[in-house]
Amino acid sequence: MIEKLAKAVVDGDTEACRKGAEEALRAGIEPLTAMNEGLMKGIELTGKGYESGEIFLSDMMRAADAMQAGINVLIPHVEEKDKAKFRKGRIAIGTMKGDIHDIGKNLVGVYLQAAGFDIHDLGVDVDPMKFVEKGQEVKANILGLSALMTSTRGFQREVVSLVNEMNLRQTFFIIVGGAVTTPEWAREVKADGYGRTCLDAVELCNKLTSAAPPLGQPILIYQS
Amino acid sequence: MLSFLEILERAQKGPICKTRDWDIHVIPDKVKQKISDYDLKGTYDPNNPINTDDKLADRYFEAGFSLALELGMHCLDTQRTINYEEQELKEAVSEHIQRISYGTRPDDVVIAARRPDDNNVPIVQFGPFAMPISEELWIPIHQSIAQHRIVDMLCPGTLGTIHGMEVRAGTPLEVLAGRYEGRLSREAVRRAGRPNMALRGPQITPTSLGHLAGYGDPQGYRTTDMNVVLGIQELKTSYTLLEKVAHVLNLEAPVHTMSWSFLGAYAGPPEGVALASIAASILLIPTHQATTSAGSCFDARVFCNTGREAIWADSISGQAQARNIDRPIEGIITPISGPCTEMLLHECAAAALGGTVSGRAWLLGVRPRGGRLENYSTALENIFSAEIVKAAARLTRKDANEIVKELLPKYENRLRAPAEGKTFPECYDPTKLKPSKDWLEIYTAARKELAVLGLSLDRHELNVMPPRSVEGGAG
Repeated sequence: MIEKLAKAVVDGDTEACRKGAEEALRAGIEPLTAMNEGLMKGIELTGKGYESGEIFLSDMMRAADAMQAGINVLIPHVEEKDKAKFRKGRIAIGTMKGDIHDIGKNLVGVYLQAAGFDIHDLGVDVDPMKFVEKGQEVKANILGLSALMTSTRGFQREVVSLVNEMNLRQTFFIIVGGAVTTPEWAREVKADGYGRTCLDAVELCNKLTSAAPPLGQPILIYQS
Repeated sequence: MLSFLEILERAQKGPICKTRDWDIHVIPDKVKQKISDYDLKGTYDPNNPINTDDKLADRYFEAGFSLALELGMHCLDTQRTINYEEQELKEAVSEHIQRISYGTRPDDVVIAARRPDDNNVPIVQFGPFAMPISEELWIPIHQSIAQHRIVDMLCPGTLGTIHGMEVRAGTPLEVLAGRYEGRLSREAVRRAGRPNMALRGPQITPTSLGHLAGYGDPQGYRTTDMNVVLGIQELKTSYTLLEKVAHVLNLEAPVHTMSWSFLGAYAGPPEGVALASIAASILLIPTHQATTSAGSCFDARVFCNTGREAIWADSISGQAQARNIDRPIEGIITPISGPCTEMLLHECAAAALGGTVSGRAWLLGVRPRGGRLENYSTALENIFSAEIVKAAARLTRKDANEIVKELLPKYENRLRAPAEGKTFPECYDPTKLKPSKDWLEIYTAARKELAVLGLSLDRHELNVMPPRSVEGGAG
């Protein structure tokens, strides 16, 4: 049954995941076991498949949707003390105003979701103020800002300004990424972190979970 | 061709589809189906990165056409699909547009349609295509490329600032930047002694504002330049893009359109990416009312199109298009390493060879570091790539395949950690517009290496006229 759950995630089968999670509960399987050894195992396999080039972004996104469906069934039955493992934090993520590139942002979102973060995807072409508003609405810990163009990168700076001027700097971490961003850029705009790849983003967000915003110096991860 | 009003009507009234569904269900499922229906699974041949089989190329075209017909094009703003009848797409691909001219005399060029293994020499449209270029280096970088006659058309970069102020999309700064970019680029070709050279532009157009603002100034972009409206992968357009189309139609100028299909994203394996790029090229003709169109393949995982899978997908896609669409087809060179490295020239050579022998009518580039980092552009990689393109027109696909097979192992295991190289001022004299000794030595060695591999490059005069002193500026 646990294996079926993992397979449903790999297959990106949302319905099978939901049903599999319900069956696991009925069979008396510990919800935590079903999540760790079923859902998380499935998403781990999917991630490995992507890294090795065997599967693609659409498969990853389907797998993430399926995993989420299973989590939604199981999480109410998980003991409070164990929930933190699957609810590491909430991230409002999006691509900056004027920028419609979504592939990198979607991929990062899936990796972070698989790592146990709640992802609130604002989509593309997102006004700076929308990041702040969404962050407040969902009580986000992190605002994740993606930019692929020099003419849209400047809006990352604007989000930092808005958060500062609205006295929210102790509420959110602000992390930046995307093709035209660099560690130097993250320092310049006074972001809390920068990651070059999806795996970097996961490592970065994991590190942020044990800190409080704002950081004096950004965490810069770009070696993976 | 269908009228533009008809396209807008279909964008408003076509079947509803959410973008997320389009990306992660509709596209991958239909691509998989076509790969199966046309027996294309496993046709990617890593041992032969340039396809040499005409029948396979034609089968890809049939499958790509079928994909285009069954899917149509997704409009981001309306969340609807613009669908086409079979006859409408057949008319789009069969309309006979063999030649198109750009620029004005005496600096004009004619782009002619080519076929695979065609000995006619492609046009090269080079420059730091949409790469971030700083204001102070804009004219030196562009002038240093345009001053070499082997470059036929100039492709500008994008400005990060205007008079020191950061450009921001969709604001008045984008309007100012559209005009400023056109003026600076025109000034660069004027200083290079080619004032009427065709530009590709405008580049700073995240919204339609920059596009609209780029024209109307005699010292900026002209209707005789290449008026470009790109598509969005996979098989998507938007009102921003359709606004640009409307603008070019208002100017009574031809539209050029193209789209990349991405390895590692929604279309799946190299076979699927090739299919999506063919479908994009077909669908963009009516959707963007295009005179010329193209679909290319790009590896989003390593941010370049010089890896083995991307070169193969781009070759089969280019051949399918060049053999079956009666218009000139564009190709592109996007390496991931930086200037002043051997790796950059190896990457450029492989991509330029693949594009040329596959029938691309003109090659666009060159974009070191995946086109992402500021000022990583010099004339020398552009000259080298142009030399490859011009010489490769003498080769067959079979010959080029053998050379690319030798080139790929020299760099492909470093695509995820490429040679970073140097920025323009680090390996070029920004005043004399000459390469550094190191960079010149790397270039000379690469030329010799290519000759050993079977591609002798024509001698190109690197010592061009000194930069002109000019009065006035571009501001």
